[in-house]
Amino acid sequence: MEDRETASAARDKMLMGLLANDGDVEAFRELVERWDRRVFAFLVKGCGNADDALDLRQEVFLRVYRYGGTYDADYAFSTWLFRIATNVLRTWQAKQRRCPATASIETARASAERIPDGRIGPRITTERTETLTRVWQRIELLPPEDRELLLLRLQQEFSYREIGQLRGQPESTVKSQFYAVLARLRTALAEPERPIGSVDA
Amino acid sequence: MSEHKDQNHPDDARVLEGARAWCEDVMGYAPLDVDALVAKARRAPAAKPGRWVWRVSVPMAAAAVLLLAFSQVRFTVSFGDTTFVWGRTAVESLEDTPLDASSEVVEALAVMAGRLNALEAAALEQNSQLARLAQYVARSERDWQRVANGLAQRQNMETFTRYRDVEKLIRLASGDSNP
Repeated sequence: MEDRETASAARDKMLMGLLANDGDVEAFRELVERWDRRVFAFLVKGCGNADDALDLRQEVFLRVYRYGGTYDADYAFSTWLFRIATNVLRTWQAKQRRCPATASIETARASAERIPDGRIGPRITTERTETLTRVWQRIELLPPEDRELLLLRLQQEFSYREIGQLRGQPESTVKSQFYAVLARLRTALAEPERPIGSVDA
Repeated sequence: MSEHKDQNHPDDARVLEGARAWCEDVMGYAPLDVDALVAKARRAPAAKPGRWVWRVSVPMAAAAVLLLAFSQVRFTVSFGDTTFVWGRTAVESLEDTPLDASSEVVEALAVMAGRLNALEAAALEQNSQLARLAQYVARSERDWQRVANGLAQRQNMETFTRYRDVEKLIRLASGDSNP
């Protein structure tokens, strides 16, 4: 498993070398194919809608193409790529300037409606479905930077050290922030069930 | 990456399960059109880092040129009793000019020396009048002394500068190359 990951990282660096030195479009195409799904998954959950996520994805890979020459091969391509992705996402979030509470409650309601029992599996209990619903609702109400941390850790499976590198924070800080996010999500399990529209932001 | 590494509380397993499910709840998407993206990037290439060099160096060069220009002019700024003199005197500028022992140059220097003497006389007269005026407007003897001292200091500095210039003129006119 580790060898496969190492080989994959080496391939990324080789492709970046071709892109940076020769402007190799085919190398860029392969990089996009290798990372497109992960970048889109990160962006769509980070911004909350597919249309904007598609635009943001294009901006991320445009920056990869343009600024490939600035990539330092001493570091993993994945952390460099997701540093770009988080920057693009944060810029988009700053531009939105919309009321976060209203938007989050709407998103949380839509998110909760997307949890069908059949998707999770026939053996799942009603109690577990309820747990998932509550956690999803609570995630949608988290601040953007906390959702970003969840995505980097659980969706992209970056280590705390890697997240620290791409966010410019010490590993210990990232770790404590992640536990703080989990603690906030635990409160969703402890709270009595109530209509989602009444959830405090 | 095993899930237990992220757990710090008995409920974290359920929380993590829910969070992972949320993270993985991603709809389908259209693949990126790489050719269109590359064409777009080539139409509007990124700003080169070199441009930042121009943005910094051009204003700095302009500032240096201005500084050089101002250094050829003489400024006198007074703050209360203190006077700051900066820049080159007319004579110092003239020193850079080859003399060639020309009679025209000697004549020009003599004219300039005459002007300096006239300026000195005018300054002395002005300071004298200001000192007399200060006697009427000063609120106390101490205030007047302070004004008179300031005037005297300014006069001394101006006189020193003028006599230094005159001294240089004389040396230049006498052919001394190391004034």
